[in-house]
Amino acid sequence: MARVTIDNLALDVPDGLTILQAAQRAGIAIPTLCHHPDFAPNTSCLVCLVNVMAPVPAMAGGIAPGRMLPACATRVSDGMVVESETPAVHEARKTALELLLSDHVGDCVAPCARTCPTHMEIPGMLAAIAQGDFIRALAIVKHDMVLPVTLGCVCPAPCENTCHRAAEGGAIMVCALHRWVGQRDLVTGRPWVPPRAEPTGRHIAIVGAGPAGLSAAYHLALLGHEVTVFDDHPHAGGMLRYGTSPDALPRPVLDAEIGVITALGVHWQLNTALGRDIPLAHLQTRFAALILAAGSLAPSKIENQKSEIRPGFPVSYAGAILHPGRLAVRSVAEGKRAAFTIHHLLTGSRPAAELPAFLVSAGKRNREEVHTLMRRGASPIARQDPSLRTDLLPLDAIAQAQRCLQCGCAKIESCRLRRYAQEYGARPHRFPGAHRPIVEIHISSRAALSGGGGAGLTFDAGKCIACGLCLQVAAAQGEPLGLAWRGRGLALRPSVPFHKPLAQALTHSAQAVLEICPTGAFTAAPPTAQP
Amino acid sequence: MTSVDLIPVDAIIARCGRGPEACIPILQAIQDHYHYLPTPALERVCRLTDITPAQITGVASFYSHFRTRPSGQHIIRICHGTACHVHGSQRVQDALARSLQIIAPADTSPDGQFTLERVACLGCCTLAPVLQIDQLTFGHQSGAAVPQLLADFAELSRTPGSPAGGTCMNPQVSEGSIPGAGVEFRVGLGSCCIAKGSQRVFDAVAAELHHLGAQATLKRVGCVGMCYGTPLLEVIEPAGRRHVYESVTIADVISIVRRHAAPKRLTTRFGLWIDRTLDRLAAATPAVGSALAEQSPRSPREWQGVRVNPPAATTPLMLSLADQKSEIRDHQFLSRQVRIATEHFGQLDPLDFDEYQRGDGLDALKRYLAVPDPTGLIATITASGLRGRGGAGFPTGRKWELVRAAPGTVKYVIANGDEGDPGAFMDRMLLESFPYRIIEGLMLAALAVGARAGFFYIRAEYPLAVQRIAAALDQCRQRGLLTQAGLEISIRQGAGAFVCGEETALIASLEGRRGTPRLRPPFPAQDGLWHKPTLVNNVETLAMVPWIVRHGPAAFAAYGTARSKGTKVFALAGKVQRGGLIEVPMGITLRQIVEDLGGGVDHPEGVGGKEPGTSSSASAGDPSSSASPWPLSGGAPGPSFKAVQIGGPSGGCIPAELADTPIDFEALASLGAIMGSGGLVVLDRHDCMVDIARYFLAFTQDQSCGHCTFCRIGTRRMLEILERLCAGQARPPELLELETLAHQIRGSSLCGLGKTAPNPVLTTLRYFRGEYEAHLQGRCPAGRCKALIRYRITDRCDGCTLCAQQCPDQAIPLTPYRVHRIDQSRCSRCDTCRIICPIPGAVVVESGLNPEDTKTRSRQDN
Repeated sequence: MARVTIDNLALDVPDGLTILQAAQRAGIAIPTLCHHPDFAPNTSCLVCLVNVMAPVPAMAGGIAPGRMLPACATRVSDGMVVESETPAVHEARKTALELLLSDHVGDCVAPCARTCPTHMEIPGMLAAIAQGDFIRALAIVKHDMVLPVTLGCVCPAPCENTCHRAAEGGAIMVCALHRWVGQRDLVTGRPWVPPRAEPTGRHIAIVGAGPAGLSAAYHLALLGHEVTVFDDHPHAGGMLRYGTSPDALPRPVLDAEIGVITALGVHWQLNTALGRDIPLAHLQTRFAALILAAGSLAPSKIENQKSEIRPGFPVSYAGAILHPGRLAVRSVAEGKRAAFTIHHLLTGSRPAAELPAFLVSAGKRNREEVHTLMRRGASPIARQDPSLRTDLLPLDAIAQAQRCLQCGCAKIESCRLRRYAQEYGARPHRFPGAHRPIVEIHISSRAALSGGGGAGLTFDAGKCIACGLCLQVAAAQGEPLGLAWRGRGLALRPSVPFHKPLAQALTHSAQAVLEICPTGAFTAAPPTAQP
Repeated sequence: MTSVDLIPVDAIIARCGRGPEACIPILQAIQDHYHYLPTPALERVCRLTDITPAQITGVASFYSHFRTRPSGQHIIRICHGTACHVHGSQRVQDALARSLQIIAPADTSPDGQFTLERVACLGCCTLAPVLQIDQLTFGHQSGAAVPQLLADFAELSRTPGSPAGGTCMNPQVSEGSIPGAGVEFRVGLGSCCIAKGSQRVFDAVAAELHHLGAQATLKRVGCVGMCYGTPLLEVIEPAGRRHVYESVTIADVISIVRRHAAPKRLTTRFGLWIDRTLDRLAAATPAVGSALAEQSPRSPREWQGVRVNPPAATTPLMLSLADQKSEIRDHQFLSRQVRIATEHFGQLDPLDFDEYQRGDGLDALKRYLAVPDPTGLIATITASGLRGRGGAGFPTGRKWELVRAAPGTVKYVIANGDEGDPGAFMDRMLLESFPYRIIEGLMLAALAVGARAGFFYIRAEYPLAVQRIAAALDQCRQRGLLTQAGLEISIRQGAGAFVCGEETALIASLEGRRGTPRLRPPFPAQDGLWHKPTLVNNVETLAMVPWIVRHGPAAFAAYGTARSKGTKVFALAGKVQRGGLIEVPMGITLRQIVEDLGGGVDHPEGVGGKEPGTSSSASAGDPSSSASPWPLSGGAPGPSFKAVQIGGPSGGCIPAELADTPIDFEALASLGAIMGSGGLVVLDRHDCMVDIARYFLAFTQDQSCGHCTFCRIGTRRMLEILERLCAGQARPPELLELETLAHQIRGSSLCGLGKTAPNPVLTTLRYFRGEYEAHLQGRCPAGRCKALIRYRITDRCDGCTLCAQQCPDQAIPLTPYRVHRIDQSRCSRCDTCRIICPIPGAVVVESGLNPEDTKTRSRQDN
């Protein structure tokens, strides 16, 4: 037995244990990326660094007191003092993570979804359209975005500006496609109304029936709240109605989409001006919360009223009241965010975040990289002429959606690099101008994965952190070819010996490799991928 | 792909073995045969041996010697060691690529003749810049000399069996000489001496002795250390008089030999007398034909022959002013040295077992073979205070003790001859010159720790060292020495990985794996080669062991400082007058080494006007320029000796102001450097410290095994910042980031090499921060960083057109008798014009912002 002190906690542990094992026994969590209990320590990622302050039994001079050592491989010794949760240790771990991130090229979230202010799950919508599942596509759209057709008419589509596919055949026509999905629903005459949550019994007032107010009303209604929208105009729509030409935005479209909100049970108090027709004090007594979204049409009036709001009364702001911008989709996103804020204030529960708190982006992809990424199954055709977008046939829509590179990371939830980077506050751009690893994709399209529905395996070398776990799994499972290290230094990556295809390297261990990979380097390949 | 004949693979496997440890030797043999590693051959290896596809792929892609694509007919290896770097190896490489029309990423000329490869270090630092074409080594190259180089090589390769350096590694004593009688001629035949033509001198002496039929001995000896004077020819007259001739050419040989060796036959003597008389006549008549002049002996001024050791014993044959000067010079170089590892330097035939034994060689070993006393032996080494000469300075006796004490009956000893540091060549010289001494040291170590098997791990870049150790081991085997000691020793060659100098990586390499270091503990003393207790000692450490045993620990400990005992062998190179190999007592100061032994920096001020920026007058004549941020580089006053780079990529740059610090392990560490293996590269004021730091980081980055995050990615991020600094693109916060990251890499890397990788940056930041700040402002004070300098032709130019003819970029229009102008948009800063220009100060290097910018700026200031 050895007496070890980890973060002031004295432990008696058997000799031969690693610091990591000792810490785990004591319930102290030490982050690891390259370590798996089934295998010998790789000591590669160095995210498990701890400060070891007692001499380790060894040749003196080998280890001086107070050295950063990997917990996964350093064995305990009697009298050892270990620090795991100190600023110095955290700084070392954070640097390790930042270095790994600087050599980790990928998008946690696809750039389109990241750029769209509503953070609509665009790749999901495109995947659904690509599979011909327009109902699912509509559900994905409506989950995040009110008025998909209206926005499809007026939105300048910032999402398309960041589309990686722009480098090859033009950006995906995201805007036209969500419009198309919505339009297809509207023309049925009975547009789909998303299911509401259980009624909360709370009644919320929204001032302003513009894009922000409509969005707030929509999302609050979906969350089960009673909503009344006040506006001093005779019709709902705000700038959408009074600031756009009917040529750009046909009014029947707007009316039909507002109709969906009405169908969710939202009450309208139109021709009602705040202050003049209804005092703020009145709203504060009648309603549980208030959203001020009377944006660009009446900013000064709102400004005057603000001081009258009772302290502690739940209120949130959205839309052009916050900024002078006129981007409808931005107001829509703010309406949603205001709705979520109010929901959180009233119920204490927070709707799922639209975007993870930490994410990395691959930056601009060049044409060569896009070509490589297209092997994951993107259609090679070019973007359809935008002038034809109103006349998209279902087959055209499918073909256009199939162009999507599916840039987002399939392992965003399980990625440990992302998790620890968030936990340690790592800055993904600490090293500007860092060399970018060559993007390399290996695909095994055979039905390699056990539960993958015929899916194969993809290896994206750009996301690999060279931890070595995949090599260990392949060797342990007795793969005849297996995986090998290739190169050294920064170029170090796993590879298939003799340039053979990935399917030959992992004949039966693909699932295990997929699961053990701590990042999105190994992911399931879509059935359309080209090995 | 054309099909590959795989039959040789089977023979290779039969020769090298089938175990995993045979992986590297098999790959080396395959590459020797095919000149690259054909995939079908590797697949066949996996089918026939225990080597797995994962292992062979990993190993083949780890070591830089292995090629996966076919090479050209000839391989040109350009050394990028530290000394070569500061002497412009990149310019040579650029010039070669240009003239062979090799455009990156290709590495082979379009005609398939030449493949260009960078090598980390050829260990011929005193000949910098050096390159090898196939087996031939060429020293003192320059961009302008490339056409001549290629012509020379074509010439040499046309003559089969030419006596060019490297082709004949094991010369036999010429038949014309009779050993043991008459005059003795000695020629130093280390591999850098051979590169400078010693082999040709040796052959010429042999031929001349044969021609004369003289009573003389011709002897090959090891390294003398006086690299600055090679080829060296030493003559020992029967009376004991010694003469050393430096920088001997083939033409000199005849006259030197005739001067000392008396022909046997009377007719030959008479013929010689006539020759001499004619020569005298020729010398008196300057207009005489060149054929005759070539035959004449060198005039006293050209003779640089002097006696050495002992200096005052006799009168030299020809004492001229030049002789006296060089005698003093050599005396300075040699007198401060203490010979322990290099004992009997320049006297022993490296491979003559009997000669080694006739002296005091093997005395130490025999003592312990006769009466085994491992504890006594370890106590002797411990008492001597010997510390590992490989870099970290771990007490040798202690290490031996730990291996001896480790449980188990199977133990190993390894001589670490993987001298990867650019700028270091001590180990190569010791292995080439004193193979028996190192074998004796290794055998003593084996006796002490109880090992029955030993290994030499030697860089593949050192073929002569490998050959000589192999030949010496054969001798020891034939004479039953190894059997007597119950020991088997074999040799393994590296395959181009600096990191394999680290002991755990070296062990991984010996086991046939990628040379990836692992976390210590456990140390090899407990868990080493094939998990057995293993002793790894540097060859220099081992070379000291026999002397310590023979003279006793006190004699060794009498040299040195309180904590660093004995002597240290250094490879002195770079911008120093007398580069070479020296062995000095610990505690000597760097200044003593550089100034007393080395004679101070190379090319003192204004020699031939070849210094960049000797044009201080140009700036003086233009007041606006001296006030503007557009100073002429090198115009800075101050001593030319700027710094010493010690310890290679793990070491640091010690500024001239601190050169009076006595050298020992602790003192160097306190300055931020390390002793390292002992490469000393002297830097002068034309060396940019940011560039030096960038150079070392580029080296580390290239050699990083890639195992741990901090070294794999961190050194690259440091390099990127340094590259931006050298390009004038870095922003001020990046300097801070560079320093922060350097400290983090030092504190958190897994192995010693990663931990010490930031040292070159940290020391230069510590002592030369001003230079970093100048680079932030777009200025390279030393005039070195290509992006921040420009070449300008001053009004001194007389329009001779030499530069215009030679400029590889055609950046200088051919304007005879008018001052030439450089088209900056075409200039690639290759330095050719400055070298070729015969007028001092006509071509200057300037650094700073673009002059146009400067003008704009000064206008704005006004």
